[in-house]
Amino acid sequence: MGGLAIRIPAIRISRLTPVVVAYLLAFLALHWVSYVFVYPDFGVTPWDPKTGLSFLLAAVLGPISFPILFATTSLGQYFATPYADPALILSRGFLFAVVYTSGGVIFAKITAADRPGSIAQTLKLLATGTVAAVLYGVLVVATTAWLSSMPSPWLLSAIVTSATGDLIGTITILPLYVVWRSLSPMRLSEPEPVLHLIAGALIIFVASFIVFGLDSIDQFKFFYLLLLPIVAAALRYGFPGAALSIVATDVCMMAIITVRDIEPGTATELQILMITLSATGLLLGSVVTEREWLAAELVESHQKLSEAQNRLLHASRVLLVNEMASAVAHEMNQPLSAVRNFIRTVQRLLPERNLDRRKIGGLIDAAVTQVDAASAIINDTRRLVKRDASDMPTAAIAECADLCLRLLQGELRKSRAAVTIQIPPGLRVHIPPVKLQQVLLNLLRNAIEALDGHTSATIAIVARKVGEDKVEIAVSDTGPGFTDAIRGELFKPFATSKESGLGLGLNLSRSIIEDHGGELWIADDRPNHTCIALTLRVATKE
Amino acid sequence: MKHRVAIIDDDAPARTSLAEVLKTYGYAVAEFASGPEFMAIPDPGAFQCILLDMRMPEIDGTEVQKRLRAKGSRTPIIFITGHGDVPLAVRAMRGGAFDFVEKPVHDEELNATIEAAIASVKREAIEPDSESLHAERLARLTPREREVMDLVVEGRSSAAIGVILGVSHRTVDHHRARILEKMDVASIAGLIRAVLKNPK
Repeated sequence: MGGLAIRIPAIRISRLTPVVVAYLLAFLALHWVSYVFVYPDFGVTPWDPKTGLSFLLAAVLGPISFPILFATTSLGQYFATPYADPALILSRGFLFAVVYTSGGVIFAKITAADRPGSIAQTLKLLATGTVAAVLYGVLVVATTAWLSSMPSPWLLSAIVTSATGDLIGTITILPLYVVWRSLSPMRLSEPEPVLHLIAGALIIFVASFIVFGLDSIDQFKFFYLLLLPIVAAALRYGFPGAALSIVATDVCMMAIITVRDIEPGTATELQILMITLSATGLLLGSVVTEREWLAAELVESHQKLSEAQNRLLHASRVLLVNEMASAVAHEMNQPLSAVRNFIRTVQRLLPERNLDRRKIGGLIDAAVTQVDAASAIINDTRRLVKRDASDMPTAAIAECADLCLRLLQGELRKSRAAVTIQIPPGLRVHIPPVKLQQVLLNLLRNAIEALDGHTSATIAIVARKVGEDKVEIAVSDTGPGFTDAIRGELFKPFATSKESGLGLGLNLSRSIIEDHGGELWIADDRPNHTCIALTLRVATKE
Repeated sequence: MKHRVAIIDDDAPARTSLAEVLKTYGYAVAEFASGPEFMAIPDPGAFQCILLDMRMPEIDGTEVQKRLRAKGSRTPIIFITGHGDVPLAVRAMRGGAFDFVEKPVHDEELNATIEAAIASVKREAIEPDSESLHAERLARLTPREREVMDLVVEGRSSAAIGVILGVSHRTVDHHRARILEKMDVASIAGLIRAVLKNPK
């Protein structure tokens, strides 16, 4: 212990001074209350909050607290027992400063990475506090016994009393500091916490009075009545609640048994019970606090997830728009090409001497037909993207399927797939048409791509009423089915067997359907028969 | 004598309108809605040029081309492709197609291509392509231009080539123009044809 290297760090005096002054004032105040039940000859007490204060000072200031602890403890001892041997007083001051400076520094070091109020920090607090208290108890009693002749039967009980008093001091004061520094759930500007604080203090006082203040009640039998308010505070406010209620309980207990003049031995035994009570309360508080952190993290990550989901939805809408633009451009190319050819023909025939008016008329008619075809494409597309259509609460399934197939015409031609549709006319579901189109487009495109290159491929879209209020829509194809690799990942975003796709399809389709109170699942997954089914609520009118 | 041109396309308006405009250039045009329909006629070899739509249901353009070649047909084929189908077109060129035109088809350009195709058959019969001339033209290219040319012939877009070579697509476009000039060809299709005819 004596080998502790003491370096005085370059802490600016201006910062150091208020801390030391606060420590000295608190020390004096606590000194006045702590020397009840003293074994005067040993200077030990079962109630020593000064220890916690000193431990705290060392944890905050580091090794520089050694001389401060040495001086204050020695002076305190002198005022408590002015008649004692100066060597005894100084040796106590020295031992105290060595043990508690080391304890505080070690505690600060090993808990530097811990979140204040966490289970890990509380366990380390209990461990370092216990080791320091026992060590100091043994050293101080041994020194006292050596310097002054002390009857040996008292040795053990003196050690126990000293260690108990020190430990209870540490585990009541240090958590208060943790609460003050790092946690602020006690929002005193709000009425509820203030009310709880007052009610809690009252309840703790009443419980303490019942346990310790009544002659007819055995303190030890009823001791654990005190646990209830501590548990309640820990459950409601976590670590800070536990820390405050423990201090309140300990203060009440000591005040009452001081007034009732209970003998020192009993006080020590009660303090040992108090230590287990405090440890339990603090750990419970830490568990509750950690659970609150987890809950907060969960809420936060859920928020992030839904933001990501929204971005994905937006991305897929952009994708849909792009796709529609290129599908429209592709479809428009055909009639425009034909129109150009017909008109160019007329242009080249016009200079001819014997103009065939009927032929010219036929060419113009053909051109007009193609212009009409082009404007039909534009009208269909407009119908698909029309704004008021997206605000409609219900969708006609057959209409949506028709529009999707129109958009996919080019791809369908390429894949040479035949499409069969079985949708009862007029069947509507509760979902905006644009959303249903988005889902059907996804499912149909998956089916088309799965069929790519397969002969005699068919895609079926079947809708039917299920029960009173549901509609099931199934999109199936005769493709090879899902590969093993893709099957487990199907509903994750970006899972895809296709190089070109973004893999947003199934995952997104499912969340769109779920957003509208439906379900989407893989109904069948065999070679030559892959089927994705979904349900939505049936709509009776537009 | 009128040159005979066959149009194979499943889309009736596209096919008919193309036939009408080509007739004004003096060709005898025959229309077919599919590859098998064309191959079923008694004398497919009677045509001097075939216009073949790339994308058709059942049997697509490249498949028709393959079957015709398998039957020993040497008639030049001009592919009609949708916009942005250059990789497909390059594959077709490798399969021996004469050229490709993109929709919407411009009749003047198409006419020039058909004339070139018919002329190439005649020229090939008289004077085979001069390998030394091609080698001479290749020698004019800088190493970078050779690199760009190889990628163009593979059917890659300017943007893709830019990414591969780590330059902007404008730089690639500039290289492309220089290459066409130095190789003495009018179009990318001509470049591909020249390169394919003269394997390294």
